[in-house]
Parts: sequence; structure tokens; C-alpha cells
Amino acid sequence: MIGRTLLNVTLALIVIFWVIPFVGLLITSLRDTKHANETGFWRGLTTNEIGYSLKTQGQEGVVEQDGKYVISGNLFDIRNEYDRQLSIENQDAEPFEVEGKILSFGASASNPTQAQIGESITVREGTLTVEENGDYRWIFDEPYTKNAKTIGVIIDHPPTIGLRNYFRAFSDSKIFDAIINSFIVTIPATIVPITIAAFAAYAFSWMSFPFRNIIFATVVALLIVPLQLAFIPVLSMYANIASWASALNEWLGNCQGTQCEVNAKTFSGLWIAHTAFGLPLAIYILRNYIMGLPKELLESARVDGASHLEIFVKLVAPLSLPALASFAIFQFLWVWNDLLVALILGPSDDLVLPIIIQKQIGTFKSELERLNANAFISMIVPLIVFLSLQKYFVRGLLTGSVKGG
Amino acid sequence: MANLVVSRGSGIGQLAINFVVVVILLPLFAVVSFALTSYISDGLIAVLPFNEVATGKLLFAVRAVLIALATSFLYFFLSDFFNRQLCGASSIGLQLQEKNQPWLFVGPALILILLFLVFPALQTLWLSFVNDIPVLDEGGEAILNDAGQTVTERGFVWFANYIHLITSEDFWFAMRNSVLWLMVVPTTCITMGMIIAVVSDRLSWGTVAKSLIFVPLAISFVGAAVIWRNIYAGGGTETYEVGMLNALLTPLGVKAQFWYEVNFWGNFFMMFIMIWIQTGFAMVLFSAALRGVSEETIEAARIDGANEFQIFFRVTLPQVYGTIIVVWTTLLILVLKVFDIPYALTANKPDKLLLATLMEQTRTAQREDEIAAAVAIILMLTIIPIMLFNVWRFRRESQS
Repeated sequence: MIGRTLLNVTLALIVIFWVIPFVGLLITSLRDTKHANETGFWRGLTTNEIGYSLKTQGQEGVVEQDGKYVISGNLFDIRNEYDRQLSIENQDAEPFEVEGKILSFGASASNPTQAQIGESITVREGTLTVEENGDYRWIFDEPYTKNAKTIGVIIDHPPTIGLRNYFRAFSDSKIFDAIINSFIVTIPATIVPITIAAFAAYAFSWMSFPFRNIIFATVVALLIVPLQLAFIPVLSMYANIASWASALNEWLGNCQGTQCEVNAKTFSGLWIAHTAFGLPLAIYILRNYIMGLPKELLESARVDGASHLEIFVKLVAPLSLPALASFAIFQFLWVWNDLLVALILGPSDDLVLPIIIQKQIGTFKSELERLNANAFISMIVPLIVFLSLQKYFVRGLLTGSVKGG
Repeated sequence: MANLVVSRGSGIGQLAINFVVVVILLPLFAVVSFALTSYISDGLIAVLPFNEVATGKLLFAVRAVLIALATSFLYFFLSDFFNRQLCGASSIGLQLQEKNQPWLFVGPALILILLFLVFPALQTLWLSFVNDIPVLDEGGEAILNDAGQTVTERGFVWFANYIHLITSEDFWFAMRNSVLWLMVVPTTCITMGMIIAVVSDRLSWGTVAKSLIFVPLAISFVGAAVIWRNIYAGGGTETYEVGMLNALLTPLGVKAQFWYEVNFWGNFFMMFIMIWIQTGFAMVLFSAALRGVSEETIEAARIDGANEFQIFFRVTLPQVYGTIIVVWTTLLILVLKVFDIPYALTANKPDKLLLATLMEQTRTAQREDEIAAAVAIILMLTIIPIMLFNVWRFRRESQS
């Protein structure tokens, strides 16, 4: 019995350990900038003491009362109204509200603990009092003729959770482009190698031709050749092709000077490279599967006079769907998540999601909530694919690795 | 027999013609269809009520995807069609057709593999042995051009690139870190994976636990870097820490910091991200292997009075040994190629370099393709022993 409890606790601890980072990502991506950058994600659902600088009204708000000059209002309302206007101007998503209980305040943003609620301080020759709910009164003996004043406050702020960062991400043209580009890169780079590899796998398993086994063994050996070996020559090959294309362009005479130059890095270049890099694994997985199809079935189809193409299209391809699905998931996840190949061969600097996220790890150091939201957006598609087709992924792992290679 | 000779002699000719026809027709198809669909796309953009730029991008995506797919499918139908037409329906023709067919099927795959993997690998090998050498005059002095720069020509330099590489400090950082990754990551993944597989096998909620631990396999290394940044990061206010590790450790008197940036030990924090991702892989394979362990041997051991630990180490483990080796080699190869995690988190600090990031740094920051090629070759050399071991195992398995 003690043994069982121990097992339960061990597994529970491991699972918690594995899940917490995900929870951290999700919560951070839903928070407000100030909260996400000043407190950890585990405080995302609790009230936090956060320092804000809030603005009073200036001379435009002065009212004469009993011979004194009074500015009064609500600090939260002023701030929230300002934020709302700003987001409308910038066509930005609706901002999070600043709310909560003010704990202390001070005459400047750097000194928010100068006075407690109920106390009053002298600011610009006026007496300032601030209530818990943000109401303030600023009383002068002489008429006040200056502008608004920023005062520092510590707020006991309730959690700010919402979809703002996601709205902002989708209205950010960089992220939108990257999502589209990720699809443009991934879909052909997943399906084209499947077609090519399936035909090759069929030939390797059911047709006889010279050097068949040696060629297949070589292809399998290539499974572990690092892609790093290919990058420099492939790049120079693309550069050569581009310069030929530019020369051809110029010769055809429908352009002038620099207009004739053809970009060396293109979507097609990226597709073909991903296709080639994925082929060894695809051929390996598919051949293992197609080899196992019932021999009698294929032979009787041959006797009936079906051509290899007909057999492939009508019999082998439908029967191999599970293996095709296995490889498709591998390739889809690999291409969608790939940073290196897109970085080296991609047609533009901010091409796909991993590149953007990688850059934002450096540039969004004080906008962690946006970094996390964008990272989550980059994971949605692979997670959906993975979770809905997990069965085939596991099957692919088992055939791909257990049998060898 | 005579037929065979004849058919072999002329078969290559037909094959060549076939390839040429297809190689000309397919790109033509792609280009023409792309040009034609641009009219449709322009028309649609004008008609559709959505944002023009976004619609244009979406339509470009759809066209590109469809044309790429159509081209790849078309190849097989075209080549089959031409194969029939060129060989004819005579008995020799049919034999020829039969002979050519496999090459038409494996052709595209082989050509792509040769063009993008085999030839580039050889070229990289060559590149790692050449570099620009100063041209010397009769007196042995370097010749200068009008701008006062040394005139160079490309030439074979033997191991000069490698020597240049191994005398640099960065290389030894990369080597040290790569070896550390190779030692730590696969072994930890295997240990954790085995523990999870064994434990979850005995508990009713084991399947749920396993699918949760499995999920990180779906996400990118860059995404994982962002996820773990929330745990490892420094920063915050006087009251609060942003990073979870800091929040846990500062009450114990540890100084708050960015944990993956710490000298030397930071490497281990990055390794852990990889372990977090890959343990699921080890776990799935071990789970499957454990299901294959014969119940009878375990029962027999239990009757003989062995305790659970003895059963696991003496009976179960030897039976899944093969799977452990598979997982271990797969992870070794994977770890050697790791690039994204250190690249995303520390952007090439020397202390955190790996062979893969060193290569990219040499290629882009220093613009020394030849030295980068030498790094790639060293990366390959590290893999070769693992590959040989794999081939040996593959052989032994296919024999038994």
C-alpha cells in the first residue's frame, strides 16, 4: 500500500513538473504588461501590489470652493480614459483597466510609498489626499496654473486576465504574415515528399531493379547525416541558379539593370530543400509499411493486368494511409517548428513564426506577455495536429525507431 | 536473352528522353499555371470585400500550395504516360516499360537526395580543405593589388582550416558543451522515460499522465525556450520575482539571476529544456517495449522470491535493452544537431556555443564558409561512430 502511494506521488510530481511550464506560458500570455513583467505567472490569478504612476488633472480642473482652489477626481478614471483614447487612436485592442485599492502614494513616480491612505502630502504648494478607491483632492490657497502632475501609487491590483495580447498579435501584420507564410512553407513541404517518397518506397519494396538494396541502405544511412553538411553548397547552388535566371531575364530584355535580379532564396527553394531533407525518413517509414502489405493481393492485381501506377494509386496508397499519416505528422511538425532551414534558405528575414519568436525573445524583454502570446499562437496548429493524430504519431515513432535506423 | 540485351541497350535512351520531357514540361506547367492563376487571383481580390493585402497573401498561399502539389502529382502520371508511348506495346516494348518503371518511381527521390544531401556533403568536405591563399611573387613576398590588399587565389590548404578552427577558443567551448549535451541529455531522458513508463504502467491514471508528458514533443524548440524563459528568467521588482526559479530560491538566500546565462552551469539549464521535450519520446518507446516483456519470466522470478527491484533490473531490463539502445542512439543524433535552444536564448555567447551554433556563427558573423564547412565535417565525424554502430545493429537484426 505504501508502495502504491509512493508511485502515485512520484508520477504526480513528474506530471506537475511537466505541466507547470505550459501553465506559465498560458497565464503570462493572458496578462497585462505591468503585471507580466513585474510578477511571476503563478501570481497571475491573485491580487498583487503593483506600483503605477497616475496623473492628476492640471489647471483645467481647478474649481473654487470656499476661497480655496481645489482639483479633484478619480486617478483610475483619468488613467483608464487616457488608455482607452490611446488604443482607439492606435487602433489597438481594448486595454486592461487599472483598478484596485490604493495602498500608498507619493509626490513622484519614484517615491510611491511617501504617504499612507488618509495622510496628506504637500505637492507643488497644495495639499494632496488620496482615497483607497482612487479619489483625490488637491487643495491650493492660490490659483493653480500648472499642468497635470504624475504621482506614484502602490495599488493592490486584482488579476488582469484577458485576450488583449492575442487580439494585438492578430492585428500585428508581422504575426499575420508569419502565420500565412508558415502555412505556405509547411503544406507543400509536407505533401510533396509524401508523394515522391511513396512512389519510391513502392519501387523499393515491390519492384526489382539493379542495386536496389545498396541504394536503399544508402538512403537509410542518410537519415543521420546532419543537415549542416548541406547548407553551404545548397545556398551556393541557389545563388548560381538565381544568377542564371537573372542573366536569362536580362537577355529576354523585359527588364533593366537591378530589376533583372532574381532572388536566390524563394519559397520553391525552401519547399524543395525541405522535401529533400525529409525524403530519407519518409522512404524508410513508408517502405517498412508497404513491405508488410499482403503479397498475394498485389500479385493477383498484376496478373489481372493492372499497371504499377494503377496498383499504386488504387491499392497501395489507400492501404498505406496509416503510414502516410505517420510521416505526414512528423514532417508537418518538423517543418512548422523548424528555425534553422527557414533562417538559412528562407526568402525573407521575418518569414515564419519560429524566426519571429526567436527574435522577440531578444526584443520583447519588457513585453513578456506579448512574447508568450505569440509563442502560444505558434504552437496552436502543431498542438491541434499532434493531439488529433497522436495515434499515428506514436505508430510512426514505433516503426521509425524500433525496427532500426 | 537477346531481348534482354536489346532492351537494356535502348532502355536508358527512353528513360533519358522521358526525364528530359518531364523536366521541361513540369516547370513549364508550374510557371504557366502560376501566371494564369494570377489573373484569377487579381479578379478575386477586386471582387472580394476583404482587406486587399491580406486577401492577396491568402490567395498567393492557396495558388502556391495547389500548383506545387499538382506539379508533383503530374510527374508520376506524365512519366507513366510517356513510358508507355515511348516503349510501345510490342513484347520488347512491354519488357522495356517494366524495366524503366522502377527508375521512374525512385527517380525524383534519388535525384533530390543526390542534389541536396549527397553532393552537398561531398562539396562541404572539399570546401573544408580549400581556402584563399596569398599569391607570392618570385621573392616569396605577397603580391598587393592597386588598393594595397593581398592578392589571393583559391587553393588546397590541407588541414589549415581545421587547425585554424581547433586553435580558436570558441571551438573548444563548442566541443566541451556538445560533449556535455551528449552525455547528459540522452541518459537523463532515458532514465526519466523509463521511470515514467514503469510507474504509469501500474497506475490507473497512467495513460493520462503519459499523454501530458508526451505533449512537449509537438512544440518547437523556440516555443519551448519561451516557455522555460518564464521559469529561468531574472528580473522583477523589489517585492516580486518574474522567474519561478528565482522566486523559489531567493528565500533560501540565493542571488536572483537569469539561470540559463550563468557561466558554464547555464548550459545545464538549457539541456533541461531538451530533456523536457524528449523524455516523452523515450517514454513512449519504453512503454511499448515493456508491454512486450513476457509475463511468464516475471511470474517465474516472483515465484523464486525475487523482489520488485530484482525483477526490474534482472528480468525486465535485459528484455528491453534493444529499445534502450535505439532511444539512446536516436537521442544522441538529435542532440548533436541541437541549434535552436542556445541560439534563441543566448544568441551565441561563447560559453554556450554548440557545434551547430558555432557553424552558423562562423558562416554568418565571420563569413568564413570554409571554416564553417570544417565545423560541419567535425559534426559529421562525431556522428559516424554512432552510425556505424547502428548499421552493425541493423545487420544483426535483419539476420536474426
